[in-house]
Amino acid sequence: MPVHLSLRSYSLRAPNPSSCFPSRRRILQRIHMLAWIALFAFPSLPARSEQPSDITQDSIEELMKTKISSVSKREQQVLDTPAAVYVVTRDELRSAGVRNIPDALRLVPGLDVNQIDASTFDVGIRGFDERFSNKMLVMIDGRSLYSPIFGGIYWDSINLVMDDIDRIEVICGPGGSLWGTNAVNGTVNIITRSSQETPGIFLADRSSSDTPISLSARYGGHVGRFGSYRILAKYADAFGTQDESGHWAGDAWHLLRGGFRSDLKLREHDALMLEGNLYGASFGEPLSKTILVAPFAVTASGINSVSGGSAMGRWTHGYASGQETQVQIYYAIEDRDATERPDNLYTIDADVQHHFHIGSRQDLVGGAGYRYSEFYAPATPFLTITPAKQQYPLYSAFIQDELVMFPKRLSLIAGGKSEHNRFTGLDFQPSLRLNFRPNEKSAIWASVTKAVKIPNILNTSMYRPLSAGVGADGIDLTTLVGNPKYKDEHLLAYEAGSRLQLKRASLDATGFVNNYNDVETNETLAPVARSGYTEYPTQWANNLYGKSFGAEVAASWKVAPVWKMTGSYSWLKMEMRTNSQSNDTSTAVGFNAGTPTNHFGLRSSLLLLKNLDFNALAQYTGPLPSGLGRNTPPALPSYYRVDSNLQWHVRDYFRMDIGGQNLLRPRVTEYVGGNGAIQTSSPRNIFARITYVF
Amino acid sequence: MSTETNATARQVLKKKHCCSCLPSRVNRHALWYLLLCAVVFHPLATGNAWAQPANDADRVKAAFLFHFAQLVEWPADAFDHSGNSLFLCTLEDDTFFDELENTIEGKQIGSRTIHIRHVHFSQATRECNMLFVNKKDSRNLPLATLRNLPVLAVGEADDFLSSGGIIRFRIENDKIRFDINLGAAQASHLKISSRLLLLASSVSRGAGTDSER
Repeated sequence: MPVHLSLRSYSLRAPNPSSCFPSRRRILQRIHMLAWIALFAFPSLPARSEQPSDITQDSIEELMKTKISSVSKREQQVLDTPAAVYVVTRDELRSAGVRNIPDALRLVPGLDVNQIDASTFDVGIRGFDERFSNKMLVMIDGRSLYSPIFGGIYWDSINLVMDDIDRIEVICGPGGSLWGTNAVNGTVNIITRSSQETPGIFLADRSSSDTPISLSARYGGHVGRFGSYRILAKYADAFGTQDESGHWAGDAWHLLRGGFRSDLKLREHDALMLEGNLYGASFGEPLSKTILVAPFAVTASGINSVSGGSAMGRWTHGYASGQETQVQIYYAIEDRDATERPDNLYTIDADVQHHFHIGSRQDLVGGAGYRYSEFYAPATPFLTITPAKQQYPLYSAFIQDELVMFPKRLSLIAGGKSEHNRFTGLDFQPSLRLNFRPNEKSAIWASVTKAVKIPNILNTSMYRPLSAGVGADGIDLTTLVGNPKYKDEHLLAYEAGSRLQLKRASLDATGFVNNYNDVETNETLAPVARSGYTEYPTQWANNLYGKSFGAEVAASWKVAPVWKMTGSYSWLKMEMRTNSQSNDTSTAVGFNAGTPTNHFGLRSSLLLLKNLDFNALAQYTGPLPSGLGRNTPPALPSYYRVDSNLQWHVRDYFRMDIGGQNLLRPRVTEYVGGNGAIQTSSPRNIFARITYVF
Repeated sequence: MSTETNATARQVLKKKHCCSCLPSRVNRHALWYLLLCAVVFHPLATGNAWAQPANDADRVKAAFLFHFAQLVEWPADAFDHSGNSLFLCTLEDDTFFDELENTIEGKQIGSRTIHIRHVHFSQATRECNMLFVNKKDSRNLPLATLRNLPVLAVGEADDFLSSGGIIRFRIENDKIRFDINLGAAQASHLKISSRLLLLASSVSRGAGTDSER
């Protein structure tokens, strides 16, 4: 798939029926089937002999072949962290059999994940979830995926090779003081494995009823004496989804991705990490376009071509005194040739961080960064950005001091980050955290943090037709326009939590109270007479304030050496309201009713036989209460979701999984209306996956 | 939801007649794969009924330390103070220390018994035959003072070998690997068995960076 950076003019295109089955795809499917036959013909070898419970009886040669799980180290680190951290480990990713990041995030308490269509998701942390959640930061290895234009994340082009992921660290709550603005409600950091850990050949093929092809190939090797590298390629092809009546939504997609990573040790104290990727994809997008004649809205599907790439380098230098400096530079470019929201965005980011100790009790990290984004967003009938070409420079600096007040008992972390953006200037986000360790196995923490969401380009520069109809004097058109004076949104968060880490069980509970101010509203302005219609503009403003309360609980229990259960529960209540200057009657209700109050999840991982795992996951998402007012989302009933899979492996070189997701019903509607998207649903799918490692 | 997202008038989507042929074909494919799995799938016949869980990293490292003790030869005078005991020391009373106590405390290495202790680094030079240093404690540790002393220093830090350590653990592809600095071993008058040298991922001679074989 060529990476093209040119832009084309737009028109609403209905999908070409014959494009459902180009001959290229047929050929790929045939090769695919043959590959499966060939792989199955490979003889399966006898399982290895049983391991005695006294591990010292194993010979050292056998120990070298033993696979390890590094769970305990991570558990210790989490006990020392005064924040609502949840880590999705590689084992959990594998047991869950997930195919993409949003599905993996369903496992985390405090997160609300709803599938919108075949490639888009609505993900939110502690409320405010929307298709483009602007109060959440998502990163891969420290590289931000947040778009300053839409103030959100495009989940569609993050299609990683799942085996490359070491862990996903989710912090619920404002990570503002360390990660920066827009991490208001939470941060998701996807951390990939070092190339040192992925040598050799890796092949994986996942086929499911909604995504028939998902093929990954990876090769890892050494760079002389200096270190290691890996290169990878992935191709995925998915069918679209159907709505409740069985009509196809036109949201099929396919994606080709290539990437590399290299971890080098240049000299004794210098480490260099290089990472890059290139991708080209095509996504069908169900759309609704507002027009000025009856029936005032037409639906159709657009085909979005997305291509892009990124390159990142991170240099870490350790000093003899124990200090460490880290410099990270990345460059990312994406050309999104979309029907509704096209854009051509490039970003360059440079960060410096220094870590040092003062005495034996203080640990200081400080840093500064500069990020420059430039984009061009041509106008479409759906959205116009004025001016279409803009720059977005961002300066930032942060400092964090960890003070050990009583060794192994009490530590205090004080920090702050300051950023400067071209719309609202300078902001400051301080945070104070306390971590108390009553003993080795438990921790109690509390924190107060201030976080800020800075204006994105939509907030300040957009024009979008929302709906049309027949009014008193002819045609009326309601629009949404940007506000160049849009202010920062503020959050003051109070959080506390406790953790218990026993040998076979763990419990993690968090509670929070969030105070929001200057949050987004849409104010109705005076109508404007235009030629042929009357425009009723609504404009972005900052007239929403309020509170949200919530709690998250995560527990795990190793019932038997072969059976582990994990449970999670979250509760959220939002009380947002508009101030006296506002005439917006629906946004507050929309947020308050837009996230379910209760989420519950239960997972089981059972080792049936020597090489056979059985995993099951059941989730409950509460209903969206019906809201009042014209534009609130209609009530969505609660839904259950059950996933299950069987995983079989032969030694450590061959692995096969079969299972299903969303097994209870043929499809579940997880997301209603909004953003011009058509009503679609999350389908039931059955999958099989095989993996070879040489 | 943000009111940028107003609900719009619903229209019935036109049926895409081509794509309607997909579901049955897809389901047939999926079922076909599953059938093939069931046919080829025969791990049930082999192995024992109840499996062992994935091994915890600490447990496997402890077992490695036990084998290192078996495959390394100390000079005769190294045990003058300890008699029939071989002391394996860590610098912290942490979960790894607990694991060592559970796994290898009291086991026999030849005529000697292994005992696990946790000490300050300054004591290690006099009272230990083996020393394990985890990544965190490696910072600023004067490993060079162990040179010429018959202490088998095993660690995890990236620069452990170049700082004076003898064996270093790494994780590669979810398995434990180790590298040996033979020069440091020889300076400490420790003889490493050729069997152990063969299993190491790399063996270096000097204080320089690790070299691949």
